[in-house]
Amino acid sequence: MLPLALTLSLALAADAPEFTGSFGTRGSLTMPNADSTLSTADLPIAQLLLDANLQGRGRLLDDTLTLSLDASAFVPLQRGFADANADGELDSVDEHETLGSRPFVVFSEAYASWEPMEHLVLTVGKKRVVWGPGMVFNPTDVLNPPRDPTDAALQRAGVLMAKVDAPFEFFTVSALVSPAILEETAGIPSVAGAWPETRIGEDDDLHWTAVLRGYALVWDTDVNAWVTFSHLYGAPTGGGDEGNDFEYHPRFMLTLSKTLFEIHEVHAEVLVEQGSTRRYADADCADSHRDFLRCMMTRTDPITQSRIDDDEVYPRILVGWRPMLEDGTMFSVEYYYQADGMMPDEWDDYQDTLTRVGWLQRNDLAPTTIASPSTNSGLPNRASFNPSRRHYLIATAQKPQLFDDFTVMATVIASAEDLSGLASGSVLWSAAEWLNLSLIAMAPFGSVVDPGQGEFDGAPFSGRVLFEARAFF
Amino acid sequence: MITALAFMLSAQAASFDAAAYLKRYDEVMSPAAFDADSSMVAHREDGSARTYRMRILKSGTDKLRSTFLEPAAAKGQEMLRNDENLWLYMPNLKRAVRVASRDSFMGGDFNNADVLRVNYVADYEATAGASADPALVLLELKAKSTQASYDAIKLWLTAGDPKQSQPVRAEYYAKSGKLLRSAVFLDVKDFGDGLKRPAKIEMKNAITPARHSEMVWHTVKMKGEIPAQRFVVDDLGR
Repeated sequence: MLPLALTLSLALAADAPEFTGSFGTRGSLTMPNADSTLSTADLPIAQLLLDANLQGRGRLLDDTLTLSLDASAFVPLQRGFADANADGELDSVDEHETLGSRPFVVFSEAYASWEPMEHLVLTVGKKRVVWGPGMVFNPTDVLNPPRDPTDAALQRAGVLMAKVDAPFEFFTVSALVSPAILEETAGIPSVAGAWPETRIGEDDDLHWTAVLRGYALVWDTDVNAWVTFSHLYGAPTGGGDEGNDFEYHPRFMLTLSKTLFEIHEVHAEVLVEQGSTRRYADADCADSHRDFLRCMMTRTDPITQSRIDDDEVYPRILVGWRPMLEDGTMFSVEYYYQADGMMPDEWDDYQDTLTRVGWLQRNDLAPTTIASPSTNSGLPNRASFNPSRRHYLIATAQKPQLFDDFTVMATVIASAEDLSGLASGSVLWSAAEWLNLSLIAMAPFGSVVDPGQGEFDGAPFSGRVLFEARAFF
Repeated sequence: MITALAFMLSAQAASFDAAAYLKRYDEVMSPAAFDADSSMVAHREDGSARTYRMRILKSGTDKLRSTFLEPAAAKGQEMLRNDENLWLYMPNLKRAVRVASRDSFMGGDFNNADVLRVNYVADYEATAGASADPALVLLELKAKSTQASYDAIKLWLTAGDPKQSQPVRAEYYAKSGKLLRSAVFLDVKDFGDGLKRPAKIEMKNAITPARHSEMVWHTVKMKGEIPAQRFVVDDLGR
């Protein structure tokens, strides 16, 4: 209801409401990976994604009240599916409907922000709030849908929240509460905070998170420090968690960003928490098909959140350096460490277990899990980054205004342990002030240290090419 | 003869208060607090042009915020300067990232500091130069710190009472002495509240001469005070 109310308010009441938006079409060709760990039966080879985006903003009450809306509608068209057969070769799969083949909408943002007095701003609605300076990845972002690592601009969706900010010249204090979105219908939240009593099999708990944050500009350094306290919040974190099921759980975050010697931006993000929601394989289920089937038959989950109640502290740390040259060229190098990432033995067990899950999927004994795009994770990404190991290197390079209208960009994400990774390159042509055309290619590369066993060796695709046209109005 | 001419030029050079003219430049080109509507047209090598329209808020000597209104692809982008810090807010990222002051401003021939950091009194040491045109005075500016936009600037203003002087043209140099850009200040206009200044700046790129950009100031409303929270990173995009 809030988005609808905002739209009507914008159209009818706001002083000079402003509307912008775009129409886009994204065509992609994906080559499924015959060595994919999991089944690729739900991964479309050809996909056309049509979208329309509307962004509106209006101001009321002598400009103290801002209404803002950012909504997109998507129509996906998919053709062609393939999966590896018993001989490890790709066979075509019958055309079928997937979770990602239905039209959906995404309300990335829909909020009202009121400034009743100086140094006080109240915000209610769905909004994306990011305090981490990481270029490609924000391990401290435990609220929003994760970004696309190959294009930092390809995610604008936020979360439901009520937020209070007290901004001053050199510091800001913020507090927010956010109910978890428990269910969506075609992208529209239908259950938030708690399950209705009529819903059988669900808990009676409130699913929420609360945040207290302080920002300060100290010695020309952006310093953000905040603490979150959450209960069964269940939102994607962008940090590799498949579910964030902590109960009454505190987290502590600190981020820094500073420009050195005029052109060198350096930044850091640190998250500290006890326990981990990461899913690890049970070694007893991973050794052989027989062990795996035995676990299945005895209802022993082969992959569990075995450290969720762990007392050990697991920090996540991202540090980065971003030189900015006078011609607009930008490089970014980031190193990411997560203490709960899998050690080599754990990774081997995990990969063995996933391989067996893939075997079940390919024999119709388990549901396929690859569904793209997802309607509950914000705007559809071209790629995702769900780090499982401990050490990663992320590098990006971007050269804008090449021949005035072209921007080229390259991104490499690599596991520093097995040197497998994902490489992506794109060319964007700003053909007119209102039209952008993009060509994007991406491919995972296998481990040179441990061939066939690297983190990205078992990626669901071996290559993907995308063409995107976007007209702004 | 040459010695005599050099002496005359030297005498002319020493005959005016360079600091007063530099102060005047800051007063007209960057008043203490204002809310302006301006646009930049970037003319490119192929003859095409891109136009950006923006609202500019300034407070004090070190706070400035620019919000892009056009074109649609750039609408909602904002740039903020707070002292030595520059941020660019991208609406499709929903967050601000730090940028460098010497980066090109929206791909045109101005750099970020040309637009966001006009505080020549703080950034440059001015000495009186020898102007070949008696109607103009020449200020030779040397950067005081590495935060300044350029290492050296030659700035010509109308001669006479410094309190009535207007900038006419400028040349911007790298440390090596290489000419990077040159500007012409045009269309002196009365914006009200005692502000009379050039409404148009044409900036030519000396490295790629086929390019040039224009910054046009449509309105400049002088303000007594603008709330400090308008110049806070958290306020960008709001």
